[in-house]
Order: sequence, then C-alpha cells, then structure tokens
Amino acid sequence: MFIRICLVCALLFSLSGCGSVWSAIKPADVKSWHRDILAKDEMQLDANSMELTLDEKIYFAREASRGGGGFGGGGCGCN
Amino acid sequence: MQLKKKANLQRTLATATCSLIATTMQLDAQAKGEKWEVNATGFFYQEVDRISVYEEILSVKKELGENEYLSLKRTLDIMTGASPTGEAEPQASATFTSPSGSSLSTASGESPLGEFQDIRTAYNLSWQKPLTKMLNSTWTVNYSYEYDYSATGLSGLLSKDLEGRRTTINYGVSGSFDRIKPTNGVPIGGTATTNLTRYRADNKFTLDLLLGITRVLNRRALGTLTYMRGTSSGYLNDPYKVYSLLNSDNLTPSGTTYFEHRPSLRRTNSVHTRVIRNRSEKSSMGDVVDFSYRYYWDSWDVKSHTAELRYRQNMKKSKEDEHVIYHLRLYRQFEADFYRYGVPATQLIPEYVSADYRLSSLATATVGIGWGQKYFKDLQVNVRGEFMYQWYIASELNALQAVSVQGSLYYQF
Repeated sequence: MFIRICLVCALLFSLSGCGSVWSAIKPADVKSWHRDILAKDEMQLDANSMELTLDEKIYFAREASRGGGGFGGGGCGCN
Repeated sequence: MQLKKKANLQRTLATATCSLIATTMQLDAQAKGEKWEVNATGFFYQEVDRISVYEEILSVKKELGENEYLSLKRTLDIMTGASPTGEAEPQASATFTSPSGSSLSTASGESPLGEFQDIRTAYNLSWQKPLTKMLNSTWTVNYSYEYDYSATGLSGLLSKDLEGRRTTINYGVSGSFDRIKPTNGVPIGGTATTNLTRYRADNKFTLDLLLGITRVLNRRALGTLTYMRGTSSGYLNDPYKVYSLLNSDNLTPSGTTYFEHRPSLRRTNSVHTRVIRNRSEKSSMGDVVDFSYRYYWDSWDVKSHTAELRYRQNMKKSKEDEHVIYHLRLYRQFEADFYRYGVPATQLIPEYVSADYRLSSLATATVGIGWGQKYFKDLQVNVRGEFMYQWYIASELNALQAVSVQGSLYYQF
C-alpha cells in the first residue's frame, strides 16, 4: 500500500509538474542567458545541505539503508 | 526649481557612483578570492523515553579562486539515554545485565533498554577545485571520534560538464576505515553473553562508488539520477545488541541471551532520483518544489523505498528572502533475512541472527516546517522543527516518536 502511494505521488508529481518526464527524454536547450531561475540559491542541489546532513545522520542511526545522492560522514550509529 | 532638479540629479549621480564603486570593490574582492562563509548550527533531537542528542556544527568556507573553495567543519554530538538491546520483552518485571555490563531493570511488556552516554567529535575538510574549464573535483577527508568508535574517511568526486553545462556527469569514490572498541571489549558474534571471551578492538572497511547525472530539464527545473554501490567488510555486528532464546510460546524470553551475529560482508546498492522545480516564471518570486525518491537494496536482503518532498514558499507579502519550508518524508523498509525477534530454545540457532529492530520491517514518517530570513544581504537565519514517527511491522517494539529542532546562522563576508 505504502509503495503504491509513493509511486502514485511520484507519477502525479511528474505529470503535473513541468513535463519533466518528456524533458528527460528530449534534452532542453536552455541557453546560459536563460538560467536566471536555475542560478538562484534555492535551486541549487546543496541548498539545504546542513538540514540534509543532520537528517541523514538520524536516519542512518534509526534505519538500515544508507547512500543516495552523495557520500555521508563517519560514525557508529550503534545506539 | 531648476536648482532643486540639479541638486537631485547630483545626489542621484553621487549615489550611483558610490554604488558602482562599492559593487566594483566587492567584485574585486570576490575575484581575488577573499570571500568567506561561516555557518553555526545547533540541533536538538529527543526521542520519547529513549535517547536525546545535542549537536553543534561550526563550519568555515573560504573562496580561494574562481570556483575553488576550501571548507572545514567541526561537529560535536552529545548523546544520552537508552535504546533497545534486542532482548525479548519479559512477562514480568526483570533485572538483567546490559551488553555493556551495567545492571538494568525493565517492566513487564516493555523492551529492555541499554543506557549509554557518548560524546562524538568529528572534523571534515573539503577542497573543491576545478581541474579544467568543464571538469570539477571535490576532495574530502573526515575523521570522527567516540571513546568506543573512530572513523577515518577519504572521498573524491569528479564532475564533468557537457552540452554547454546542461548536463553534468558525476563520478565518485569514498573509503572509510572504522575502529571499534566497545566498553568491555569486542564480543564474539553468536556467543552467549555469559561468555567473557572478548578482544580489545576490531575494524570495519567501507568502499562506496558513485555514478550520477545532473541535467537541466527546462528553464526552471533540473533533475539528478545517482547510482551508488557500497561494500562493507569486517566487524559489522553492533557490539551492544543481543538476542534472546525464547520459551515454547515463541514469545517470552527463556533468560539466555546471545550476542548478535551478522555476516562480515555487506554489499549495498541505491538508486536516487531528485527533481527541483521553480513554480514561477518570475525568478524572484517562485516557490520551489524539491522531490526525491530512493530505492535501496543490499546483500542482507534489506530493501527500502524513500520518498521525500520539500516545498519552499517565498513570503510574497514580505521581503523576497523570507521563506517557509514544508517537509514530508516517507520511508518503508523490508527486514534483513537474518532478523529474528528471538530464537526458540528448541531450535538449532542459525549462523546469523540479529534482533536489532533497525533491521526489521518498519516504516517512518517525518513532517517538518522551517523558516528562513536574510538580513543585511549577508546574514541568513534558519530555524526548523520536525516530528518523526517510526512503527514496526513485525516487531513487538513500541513505536518510536521523536522531535527535533534546529537553528542555523550563515554569514558571508
């Protein structure tokens, strides 16, 4: 049930969003002088890096999965 | 009248000249690589009836040249409280000895908890350097220390820009060497907890490989797809976790406990995809949707799905830089093939057994809200609060509830 909800959410987001699925297939020719929106701080992949680092540490200690978009730091996560 | 106009014009020209000089000086400073960024963060995490963590992070980032940065981060964690040892819940109140040697008591129908207190200090040094116009590199060294655990890691990441920077390919490798030194020595996995044979320390090695692609999807959206493969080997048991032999009812503990025993090799895989999209065509006002999904699987038969959404709402009626972020994360995990609540005393004990609830089938839901505001263009203040609820599909353990709060200050000069 949970997986179905996740998949439906992902599908709805993709369809209702920006045509991301189609864009992924057909490369978008966005010139550098049209990247004012993409250049904003909140559009960067590391925009919430501190929050992501703290969250990853909690989930590393409470769940069995690891990895994702980048490398994590060290630590036991025993307790 | 003309004199007044002339005075206004002079004032305007003077202001414009000063602004231009100030901007030029700032650009000069940036071109010379004089830009600094300092971040101070405080974080508090509290679980109901279990552990609490206070963490503070201080980081400094220095611009050395065009797209070249050096950053140093120091983290301090203070952890106290109690966590489940893996023992089955007793029918009546009981006293037992925790894996760390201390005497603990637990009430009927409650999971035995092992108390602990720990302080962790970690350092992370990162150097981002362009190798060519279209090839960037990031090199990182990290070290973390607890009195019973230390970890040393190295990583390198290469990012190659293609198609006029519309596409970036990322290749990375990371290695970690961990040293495990539990309070009363390293227990031998699968032996009875009454067995006092221990050795001083053991090691764990981890190697991670990363391959990813980031691409501009359109004028206001970009997406990433990352595959990561990891290999961990060595001592992969949790030295503080045990499992119980169960009575004939397969539920209540017989009183005999064993140290958990996990395979000494673990191969992990994850596929992670993320889309960041600005909802508005106007660059200054748009809300930002950040959605990610990860599928994880490993050689212990753990599988998981993670879906995460961050929605950043710019406060239009206020200043441009004031925003609120809403956060939702859903996680579902399927248990490791050697996870057991306990082992019936009448059965042969399998080679690998763990009753660590974190390897069981479980689900986690997290909701959070954050607020941020920029002051004087150089100072950014962020605060946020989160609530986490974790429940166990095939375990007798009570659900876990936790809250966390975070405050951060960023300053650029």
